[in-house]
Amino acid sequence: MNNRDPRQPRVLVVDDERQNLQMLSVVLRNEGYLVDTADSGEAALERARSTTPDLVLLDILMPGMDGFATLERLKGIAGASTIPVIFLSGLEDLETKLKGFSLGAVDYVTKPFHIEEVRARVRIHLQLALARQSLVLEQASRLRSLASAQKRLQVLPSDLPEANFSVLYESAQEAGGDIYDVLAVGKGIHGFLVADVSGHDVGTSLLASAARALFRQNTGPMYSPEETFNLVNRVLAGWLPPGRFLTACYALLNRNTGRLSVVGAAHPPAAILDASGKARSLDVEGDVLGAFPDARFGRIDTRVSKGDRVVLYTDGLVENIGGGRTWNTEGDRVLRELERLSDVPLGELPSRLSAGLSDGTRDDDVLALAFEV
Amino acid sequence: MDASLPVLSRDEALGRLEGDVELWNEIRDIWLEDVANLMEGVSRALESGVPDALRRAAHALKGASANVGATRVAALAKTIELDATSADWDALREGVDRLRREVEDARRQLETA
Repeated sequence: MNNRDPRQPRVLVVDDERQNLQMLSVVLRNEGYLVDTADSGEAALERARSTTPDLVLLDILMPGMDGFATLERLKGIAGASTIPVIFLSGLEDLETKLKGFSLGAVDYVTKPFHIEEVRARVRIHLQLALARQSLVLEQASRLRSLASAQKRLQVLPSDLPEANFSVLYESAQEAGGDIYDVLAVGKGIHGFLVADVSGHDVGTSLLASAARALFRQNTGPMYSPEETFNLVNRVLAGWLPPGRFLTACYALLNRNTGRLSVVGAAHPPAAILDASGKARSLDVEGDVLGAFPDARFGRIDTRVSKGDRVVLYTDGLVENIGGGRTWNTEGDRVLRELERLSDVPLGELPSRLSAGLSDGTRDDDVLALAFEV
Repeated sequence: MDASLPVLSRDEALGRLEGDVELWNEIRDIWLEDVANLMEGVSRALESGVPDALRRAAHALKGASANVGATRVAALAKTIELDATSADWDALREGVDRLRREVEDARRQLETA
């Protein structure tokens, strides 16, 4: 619905027969609706684009573009895809009805019309659309509180100074799908996690919060990093809806022994800058998390020395879908930028890195986490 | 088509319109204005020999006639619509001839209703 008086919804009636248009217009106008008419599928699409109706009554059998084709195109118009469509049909066969529903129609009315029925169906679907709309608004407001809750939950460098890290987290949406965490696993031992939940909708940020808690529960001295991933994966695989998954990179730093272990799940590689100013990437093979129960995760162990810096990031740092860049090809740019920034204080490194890699057209969450051995 | 069907079921049509005589009158006027064209469409489709054209033309006439309560025209047009793709064309030709006569009967009654 748009900014019009919500008590006067706009209905678009589409039928190639004059009589039907007239009858439905009269009936709906008498009810107080604003009514637009179109006598063809083509005209209907044009109308839908220019007036954004709240509901469409759509005839199926029309010359030229029929109702099915019109419905399909309508669903492709930005801003019109959620408009409820009730189709009008003299055909009472099940196949026609099912086809309409499969294309996204919410209901149908058979001809000849019974105006009481038309009125009732129009009313109920407008009410449903309105309820759905307020639900979305309510969710958006909840998301805003969730976003601030997420912020409160995040570990800040000042909370855990002995981990010696800094972080940049910019969320593209109200609440983001990127997560990071820093865990004190033992004295001198810290875990650093960066992950990206697939998708950019309301569910994404909820999954992100849940996934973060899950990682926390499965990290500790009794778990190796890949065991942590295996455990998290098994839970997520049984729980995530189809098509949802996470990519992640986890680095476990043991300052006591000078060992760094990195585990990856289809995530951009960790980058390491040694004290001499030379950067290299720690590429780890691994499946995504949460897509299938028997996923495998690679692990790299490497020696590190005091002063070495490690950067974990999500693809938003380097990826610009529209520009055709992906992290597969951009890893080198991160290394070169990291070398250029070898003298920057650790606290500024993530934001300087982000600024150096941005071309100003970012459309994703940006997360960069840096720590120093 | 059921031979016992009335030419005009005005009350039934009015029932669908919640007794709104004014609305029915409007629909009737549109029918009277359009029916010659609709019937002409059916005749032309028959001559063209294209089953889908005949199906569509009969469908249009059926819809308009059902709305107004021209019961016999609607029923016969529906038969032609359904048979257009299957029946033999001699039978369809006969059906269209009958349809033309039914349309004239309905027109006479609707003009005075």
